[in-house]
Amino acid sequence: MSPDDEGCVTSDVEAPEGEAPYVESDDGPPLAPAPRRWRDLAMLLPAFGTLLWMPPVVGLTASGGAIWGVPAIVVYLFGVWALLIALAALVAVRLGRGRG
Amino acid sequence: MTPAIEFALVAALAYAALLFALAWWVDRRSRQDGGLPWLRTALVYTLSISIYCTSWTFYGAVGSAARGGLEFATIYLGPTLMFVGWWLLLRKLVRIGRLHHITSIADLISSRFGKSEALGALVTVIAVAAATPYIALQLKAVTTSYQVITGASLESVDFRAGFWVAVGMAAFTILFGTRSLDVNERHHGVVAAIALEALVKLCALVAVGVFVVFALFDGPGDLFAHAPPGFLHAEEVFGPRWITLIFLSAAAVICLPRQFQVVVVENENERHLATASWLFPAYLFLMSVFTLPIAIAGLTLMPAGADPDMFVLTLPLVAEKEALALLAFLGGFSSATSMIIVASIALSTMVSNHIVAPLALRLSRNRTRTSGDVRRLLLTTRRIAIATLILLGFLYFRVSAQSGALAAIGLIAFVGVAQVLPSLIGGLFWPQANARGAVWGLTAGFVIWMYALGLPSLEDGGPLGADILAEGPFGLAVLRPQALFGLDGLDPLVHATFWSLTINTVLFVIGSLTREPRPLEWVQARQFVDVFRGGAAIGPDSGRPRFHRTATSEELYILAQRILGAAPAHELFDTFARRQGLAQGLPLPTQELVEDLERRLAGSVGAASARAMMAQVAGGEEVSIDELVSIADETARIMRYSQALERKSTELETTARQLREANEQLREIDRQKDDFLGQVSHEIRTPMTAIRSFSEILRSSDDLESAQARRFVAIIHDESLRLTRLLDVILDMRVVEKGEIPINLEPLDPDAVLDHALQTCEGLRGTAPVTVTQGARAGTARVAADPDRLRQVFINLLSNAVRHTDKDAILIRVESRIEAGAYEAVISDNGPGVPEADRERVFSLFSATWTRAGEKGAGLGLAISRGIMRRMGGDLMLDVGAPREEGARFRVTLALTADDPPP
Repeated sequence: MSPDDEGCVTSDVEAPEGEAPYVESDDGPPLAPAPRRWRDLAMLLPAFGTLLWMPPVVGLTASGGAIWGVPAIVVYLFGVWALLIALAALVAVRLGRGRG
Repeated sequence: MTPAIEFALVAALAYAALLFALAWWVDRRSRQDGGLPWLRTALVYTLSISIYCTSWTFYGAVGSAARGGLEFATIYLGPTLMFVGWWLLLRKLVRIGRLHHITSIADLISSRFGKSEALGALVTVIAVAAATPYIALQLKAVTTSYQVITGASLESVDFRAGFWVAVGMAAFTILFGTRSLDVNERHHGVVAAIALEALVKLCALVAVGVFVVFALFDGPGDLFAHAPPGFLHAEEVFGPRWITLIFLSAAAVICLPRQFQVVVVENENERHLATASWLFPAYLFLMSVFTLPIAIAGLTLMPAGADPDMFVLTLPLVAEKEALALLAFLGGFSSATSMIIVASIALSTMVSNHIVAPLALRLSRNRTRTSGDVRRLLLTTRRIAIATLILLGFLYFRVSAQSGALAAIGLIAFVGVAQVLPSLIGGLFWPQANARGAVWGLTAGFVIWMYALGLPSLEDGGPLGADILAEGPFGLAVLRPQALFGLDGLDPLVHATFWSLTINTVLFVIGSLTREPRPLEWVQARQFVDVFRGGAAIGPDSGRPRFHRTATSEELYILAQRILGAAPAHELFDTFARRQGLAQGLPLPTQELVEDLERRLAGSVGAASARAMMAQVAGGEEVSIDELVSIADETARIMRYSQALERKSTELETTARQLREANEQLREIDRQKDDFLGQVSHEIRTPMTAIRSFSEILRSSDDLESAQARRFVAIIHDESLRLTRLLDVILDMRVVEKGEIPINLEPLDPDAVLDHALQTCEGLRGTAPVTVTQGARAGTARVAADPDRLRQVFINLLSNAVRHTDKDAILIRVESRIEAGAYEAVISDNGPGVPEADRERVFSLFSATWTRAGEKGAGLGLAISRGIMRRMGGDLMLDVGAPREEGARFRVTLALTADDPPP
């Protein structure tokens, strides 16, 4: 049990029986360093992805050339995709590590 | 029949048999000790989410890419954004789903908005309306792919494949998907089969993709070099339709009933969601990375006019790679069947919990209730619902297969389920959102969706005729389905999405703002919106408002038995009893138990039905004013807080003022004490000095005359006596102060005591001319008093009058009377009187300032006298009515008694 992440009221959330509680904490015990930066990144990731995949940004590479024979826009779309996956994986690992 | 036909049929049958066997084996194993741990991993969770990739995306994505270039990617980009942003929305959804035992998206909406039965039914209707054509689409894909791989002509549709797939899937789902009523108990057989199918479809698509890129072409560079000009549509694709499709697919990945089922309902551990946040986008990435190459290869290598939707299958066939084609066929088969299985489970749950259960509750109100009757009814309903839904899908496919209208149905379904989004988001983040807003918004969105998108998708405008599409109803151009309110020229999908969701959201907001939330809505809203702030904390000390409901343990037990069945209900109540510390028997029907039980039952029949059934035995919830206050919103909380602060600061001010006053009193007392000590030491010092000096003379001089010595000794003796008297007085004061002075009450005549005191004072007058005037006398009064102490008081007053009078001729007036049942003696003088400020002070200890010049007194007399009088039940007062010029006037009062004086 630890105070919840949006910590206005310090009220505990009951963990389901038989498994470790997956409760986030930003001002928890000093032993579990607050993964605050990672949490902020987790919240910013979809905004980041939306910005890169929505017009007008996504259209910037539309008329670009080719990289190794593949059109730049295809490389761009899938490149952003891979980047988001990598960042999300990082965030998930970090957020998972920050708690007991 | 060619061998290929038989082979495809055999492979499909064998694959289906494998799925049945796997599900059966897993189901059996999972009921044994420990079960199968790998089923509870994040990987299996992610794979089950991948039912998002139906046959529509398996085959159709390539077709979409062949026709619209990059547009196909939108269907994957939306879910990717939703999952990498899991922290914002999915996490909250999953937490709420687990805490409240949410059974479906309809249950979530119903539960959030005050456990509304109407909302549950409404969302169910929308979901069924959106999903039935979707199921038809899957059957069509299986049928077409079967025809392609068997080499049959596509001119006519062979419905047999579709029919048998429908039958097989219905059988599978009924067999393995309706084992338990509680949706939070996972159907492990189904999960295992879905996971296997997810792997098969991924492998199939990747295998075909690798084959195309590296076998048919010489790597990606070579492949893209062969792409038709303008193939990507890169110049025009990033428009409103791009944005709309990303938005819709993001909404669909949580709002589609089957997605909600696998993401929220079947989630076992929030950690799995963290893993799925990147693993599921990675799965989508792999599923789509070869879509463009396959589309390019199909456009380049296949004859013109070939169906681009079947390139995944036809390319290996044309290249004579039959094994690969078979794998692709099984991949498509997997996509279709897993979608049908999960969608029918999710929809049947919604139908049974939100349509059948409320109806059954109303109809069976007076029937006899037997153990497990509700459970049997709902399980049967679910089985029938599964069969019906799949049959409906097949009929839809049968009716509309030739029209080609099915191709668009995937996106149409997305728009339909996206109507839930405003209520969902609003419900999770906006406490004020209420059922009225949700009903208004959902209804409007549903109607506009059907009108602007569903109607045009039907052949020739369906039952309303084709004219309505071109000219609008009754010739009203402003209401043309694809150009509502004159918004013409937009893509129909964008148009319908815009109007349905805009009006939906606006009505949702207006509806929510025009009515105060009801108590139950409030409670649910706080628990949903504040789920991470302990809003959903469970436990006796959570401070959460509770409803007061009363039911007997027996009634609750019967209810649990009806829904859960006899054995599980027994087990559950045993657990409850143990938690309450009872060794045996039924648990006590506390509020906690009622709430806990309702939550458990909600996991089986949905929140609204669980509440309704609980209301039948325990009565409806009643909310007290206090509880309403305790769940009041942020503003009220802040107001209460500031009120408390204000109150505290007022209290502090009062306390500070009292402290200041007390401090002043203490200072005053301290000053008086210092004065007193100074006087006392002076009083003591004077006789002591005399005693010391005379005794020193006696000690040092041997030649003293005996007469002189005697005189000196007499002085020493006198001074010692004076000292003793003084110490006696001080001792008296301490005794009175502590209430230890011995007082023996006896009936007596106070006037006699007064006379005695006057006689005693004769000797005190000394040189001053004192005239004592005797006033009226009470005569024969009887009071209970200590004669010695009363005399002491009178003497004290008389001697005060002598000592404090500054006039040369001292006049003392003494009188007594009986007034209002009390004896009263008044002693007045012609002295300077008592200044206004000192009127109370003269009675306090150590007040020795008010003395006649030259006279020294310890200032204890009046305090002691008043203490004595009060202990005898009387009082000693300074008459305030008299003008100061007339001198001081002291009044002694004593209650009369009926007793006779002692003989």
